Amino acid sequence: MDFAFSDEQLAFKEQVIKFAAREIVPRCAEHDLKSEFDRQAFRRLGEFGILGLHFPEELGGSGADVVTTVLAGEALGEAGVDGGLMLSYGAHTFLCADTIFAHGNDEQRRRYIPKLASGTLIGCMGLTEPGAGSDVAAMRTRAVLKGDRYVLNGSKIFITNGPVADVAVVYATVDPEAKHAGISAFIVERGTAGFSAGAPLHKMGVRSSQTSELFFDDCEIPQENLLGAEGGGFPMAMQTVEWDRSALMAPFVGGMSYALMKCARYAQERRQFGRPIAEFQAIKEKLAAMKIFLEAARGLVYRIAWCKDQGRPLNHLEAAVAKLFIGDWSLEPANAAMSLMGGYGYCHEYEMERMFRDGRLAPIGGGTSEIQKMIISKLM
Amino acid sequence: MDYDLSATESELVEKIKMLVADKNLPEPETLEKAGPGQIAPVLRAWLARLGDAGYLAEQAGPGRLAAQTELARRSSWIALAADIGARLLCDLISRHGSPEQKMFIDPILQGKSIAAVAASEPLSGSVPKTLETQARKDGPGFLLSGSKSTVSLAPMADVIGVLGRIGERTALFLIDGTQAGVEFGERLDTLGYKELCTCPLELRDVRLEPERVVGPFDPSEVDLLQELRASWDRALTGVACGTMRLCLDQARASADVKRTHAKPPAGYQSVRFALAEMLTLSQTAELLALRAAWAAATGDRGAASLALCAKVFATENAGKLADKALQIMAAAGYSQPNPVERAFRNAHLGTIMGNTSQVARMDIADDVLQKVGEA
Repeated sequence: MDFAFSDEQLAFKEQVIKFAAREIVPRCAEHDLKSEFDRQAFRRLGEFGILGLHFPEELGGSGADVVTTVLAGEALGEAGVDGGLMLSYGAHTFLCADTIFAHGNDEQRRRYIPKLASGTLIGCMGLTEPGAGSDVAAMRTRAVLKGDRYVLNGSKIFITNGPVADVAVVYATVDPEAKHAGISAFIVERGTAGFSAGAPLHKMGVRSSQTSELFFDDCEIPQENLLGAEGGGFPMAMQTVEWDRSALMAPFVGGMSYALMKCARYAQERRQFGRPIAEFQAIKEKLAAMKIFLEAARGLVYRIAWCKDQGRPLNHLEAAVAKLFIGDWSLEPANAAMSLMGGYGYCHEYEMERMFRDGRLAPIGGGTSEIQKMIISKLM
Repeated sequence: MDYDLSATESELVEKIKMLVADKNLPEPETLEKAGPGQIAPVLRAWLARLGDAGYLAEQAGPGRLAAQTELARRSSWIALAADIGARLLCDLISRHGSPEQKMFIDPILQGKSIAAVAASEPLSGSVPKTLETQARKDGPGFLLSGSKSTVSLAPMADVIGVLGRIGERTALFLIDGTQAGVEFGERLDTLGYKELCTCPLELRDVRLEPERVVGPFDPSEVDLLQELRASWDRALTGVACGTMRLCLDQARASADVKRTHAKPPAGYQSVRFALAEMLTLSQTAELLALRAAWAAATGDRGAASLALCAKVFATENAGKLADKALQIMAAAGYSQPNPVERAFRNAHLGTIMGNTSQVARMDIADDVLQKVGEA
């Protein structure tokens, strides 16, 4: 076994941390408080190469491996980038762009990937519906082929980047009776007649990411916007799980690292009863709880990334374990961090309050902890 | 980066898997109420086979940890007893002993000798200068006197490594359990790990030749007690991983076969979810422990803190898994003898021995605070 990152990977991580701390992080608090998507920051992520890191150079990417891509996500979290922007980045790059890259034809790749990689276009994915979340087979959004065009009808909910996206990868069924085998994936562009996004939902956390419903009302799209084959959508959606459990989880891990350092600095500076609170054992226990969680979580994320780099099919059991652990077991150290910072932790003006709210998404988004337990108990 | 065990590492794991399945080896799990005279032959048989398999001599690292996990899954006390000699004592001798003193190592690593380590004293736990066990010069050798409060394997041991002082300096004294002046106290009625026959040890002017004294050392330069705690931590981490697997095995088996209200427990979502949580903690602990073992073996700069994280996480969650398994097994889990009830009692040693969970957490936090201070 060898758990070492290469020198190049570590150097790149440092570059990302410095870049984000300089250009992204100073903008995060304001956008979180206003619940505004930060287009400028998103564009800077694209210019720096983060949005298209793992795509080939000829498509505007950097050809990075999965571990390096995940490392960049951890680095953004470690720099202190807010969960909202990280979520927007994840939905854009891994749920939308990567699905087009992995399953699209050459024309679709050439048309969308370079612009998604640069941040010129913003992407989203439409899968969840009011009556179909993890139960994908219950999907009701229909796609009917009429001549050379598909007509989409239905709605999606909880779609990250919904209100700001230029391109959506949308899942709809061409045959409800066929259940999973009827689900197909389509590329839908902003401005297409019959396609609209709802108003941004007011969320507890990850506020700088915009989340909304998507509506399809006799929305006609060209037949060539079908991704892959008809009925091939379910495996595509499942393949995003690999990214979801590694690249989308990495910022949570990086965020915990940032919170730990922030709490440690605070504990050294804050004085009570004539000495820094870092000297109290109760405070040290909270720092230790965060550190232990951090180290335990880190390995799970990179195991999935490394396996993907080896070209192995996703181990769904290991993926669910990673999601469940990072989601559920992050709550206690997050709570410890809040308590450690006392009143300062509870105020909007200090980042811990935001991180606490953002982190609460971990056991919910991308399949709740309960769904992970169902998967694990079925596969074990 | 490579998250797979190497071929060599896998080979050792496979050897241990075959060994624990060997029906010719005596059953190790029914000896809690037996005396040292009955336990010792069983332990010797297992140590001999572990020595033959190369397990005892294997350097610390992910392969050794994975193999230890398999061994502890079968029998945690055998795994712990093996490490008391092969890791705790041999590591101290190999690091600090003279070339001649390293002759004490070979029989232990070959599985021909049972070893014990005596450190804790009635009034001293972890600080070298408070050790009251003292050796004084007597001709060419030394006379060693003192009291040790809890010495596992002592009544069965061929060699006992005793930590004590010569003046202000600390040393490791290698004594023979049959020597004059060595007296074992009454076996302690411990909560778990009864097979280790833990007992107090009294030393009264035990005569030692110079070659049986490793050291002495200035405790500010060589902290034998701290090294010993770190070795305990590594041993207990691997044993905890095996305990978690054992509890999961037992809970799953019970959940599948027992019938409650016309269906097996696994038919209920709450039981299935409990099993899922157990597997999650078990896999996470193993991965963290493997990474910590790798970091220690490669001299990674964060190795010490990572090892403490792994120890706390694995040992505390071993207890939690034992508790969950016992709950799933219900009355069957609460009854003796059964491996989960034993694991429930044994697991508590993990959070107490070596660096206690509380001490480990302080050290982990101190490391974080130091890094922030350096930044």
